[in-house]
Amino acid sequence: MRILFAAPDRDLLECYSKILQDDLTEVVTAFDGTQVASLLATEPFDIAILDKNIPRMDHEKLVTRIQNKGIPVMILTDRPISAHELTKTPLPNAHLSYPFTPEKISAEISNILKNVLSDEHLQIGTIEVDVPKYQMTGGLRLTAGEIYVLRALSNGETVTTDYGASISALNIKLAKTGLKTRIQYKSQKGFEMVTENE
Amino acid sequence: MNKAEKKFRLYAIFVIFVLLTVLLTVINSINFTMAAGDADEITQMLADRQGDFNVGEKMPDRMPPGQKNKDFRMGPMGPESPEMNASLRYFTISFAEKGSKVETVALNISAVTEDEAQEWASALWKEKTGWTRGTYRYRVYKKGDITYVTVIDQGRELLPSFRILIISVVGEALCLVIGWFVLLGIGRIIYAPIEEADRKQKNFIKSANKEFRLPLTVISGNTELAERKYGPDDETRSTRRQISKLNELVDKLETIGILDDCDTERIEIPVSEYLCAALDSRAESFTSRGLALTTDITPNITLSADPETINKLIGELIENALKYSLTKVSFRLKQENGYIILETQNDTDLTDGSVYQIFDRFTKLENASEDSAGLGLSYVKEIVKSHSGRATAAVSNGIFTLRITL
Repeated sequence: MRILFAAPDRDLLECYSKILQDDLTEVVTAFDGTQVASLLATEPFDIAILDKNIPRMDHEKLVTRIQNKGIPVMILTDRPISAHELTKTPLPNAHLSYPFTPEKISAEISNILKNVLSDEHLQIGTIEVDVPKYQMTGGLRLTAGEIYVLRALSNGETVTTDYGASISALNIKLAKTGLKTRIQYKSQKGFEMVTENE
Repeated sequence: MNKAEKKFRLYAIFVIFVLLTVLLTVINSINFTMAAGDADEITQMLADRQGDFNVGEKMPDRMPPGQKNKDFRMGPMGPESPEMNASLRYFTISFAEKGSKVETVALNISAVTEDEAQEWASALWKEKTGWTRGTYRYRVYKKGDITYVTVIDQGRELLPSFRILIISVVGEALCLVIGWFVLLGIGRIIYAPIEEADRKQKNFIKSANKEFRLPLTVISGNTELAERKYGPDDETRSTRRQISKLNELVDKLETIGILDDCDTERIEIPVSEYLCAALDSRAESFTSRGLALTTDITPNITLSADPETINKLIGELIENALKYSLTKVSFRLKQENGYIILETQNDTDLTDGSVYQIFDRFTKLENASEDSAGLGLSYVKEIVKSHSGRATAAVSNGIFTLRITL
């Protein structure tokens, strides 16, 4: 597996490339947007990790460019992501806010790749989710966090309020589909997908 | 104009209003009291002459210029003016045989007929002294078995006092208008240092939060690398604990920073659901700490709010209850007069009135844990404030109550 890790802080890159690197994983680092662009043009990658404040190129343009190559992207942010940011485009496959732990970033990478490499299709009521494409009904793009919530709801598993931003973002996206379906919390039962006439 | 500056100006104008009102009320009260004193002196002079200036001792004459007469208390302008008997408008009515026999002693006023004067005096003869019909001063006195009622017209003498009263009211209104504009002009100068201090604090919080995040990630990564290389030991474990504490601090500073920016976006969120979900997810924690949890949550309460911050608010309330309750906790959510009331109560060892600074940033109460940064409830208040709500806290008879109105 090849990871493209782009961030302006050399200590971060050095430390986390050592953590993520093993016999099966190679980590290629970049300090700015132009380096990312030239690496993308010449080398294949399985996943890209991109600091939101990457210099010399707008991170949104880079996200679009990376995703157009079929490579999933995780954005590193200096503040927790809000529900509204999860409804903007281009939408990265995942967000991770500083400070994070090595376990957290490793888990996020595995999760993103597991989704991309799967052929999983979720059906929750009238909602369909194409997991490898990170898309739901209406062609709306999803993040790994949102897919986690939808998968848990589909399997009848408990979703905690730690996923509040993803749940709120999903409700905004579900409203856009016009299917009158939303995620609602029911006492003693937890979060459930409900339609308006229920 | 920001909210604090507007508040400052309103307080300032209110203080000016109160001070001016007190000052002008005192001045006018003294003025009218003195006018009443002068009128009483005249009625007393009349009483000494049995209600008629033409009876008894003559009024003292005016002294030549440059000489003083001790009888003239205020000179020729005062009540003892030698022109008094010519210029005073008055009437005196006497009552004999318990009011059955009424007689006009003097009627030196053209605006009142004799019958009117007698009727007027009949209404007063059981009184002592005071104002009647606005600007008339009366005195009731006895000479032997006869009761006299003397009424003098002080309209002309009171005119300057009324003018001063009107000028005071108009002047005060003008002062307030001018004061408001002056405050608009210099308010910014007065407020600038406060605003600057506030801005610096906010900037510090924002940049401290932002600048901590990346180093914490690197420290965490390097700790992991050190453990991989040499194995975990007490030092790396201690570093991890400290990282964890700093992560919590950063999380709280982040919320305060976002709220200070006022850039939270609002959507309609189901508060009842959020609270139920959060309490359900922490139910085991309450049980494991031996805390009896009771809830009274009205269903389907919604609020236009930022979901992240409301989640954090609820989370903070639950953490607070878990940390500081002794044996029991209750959560109540209801809607009252269009407001959402969220109330938590728990037993505490804090003393009554000891929580007045509980919402201040970096304030730690006597029961705070060692690792507390003193930010928890300050950030609850920031969240509530950013949603135009109110948060209050009190301790009474060993029960801590935190009430949030949104």
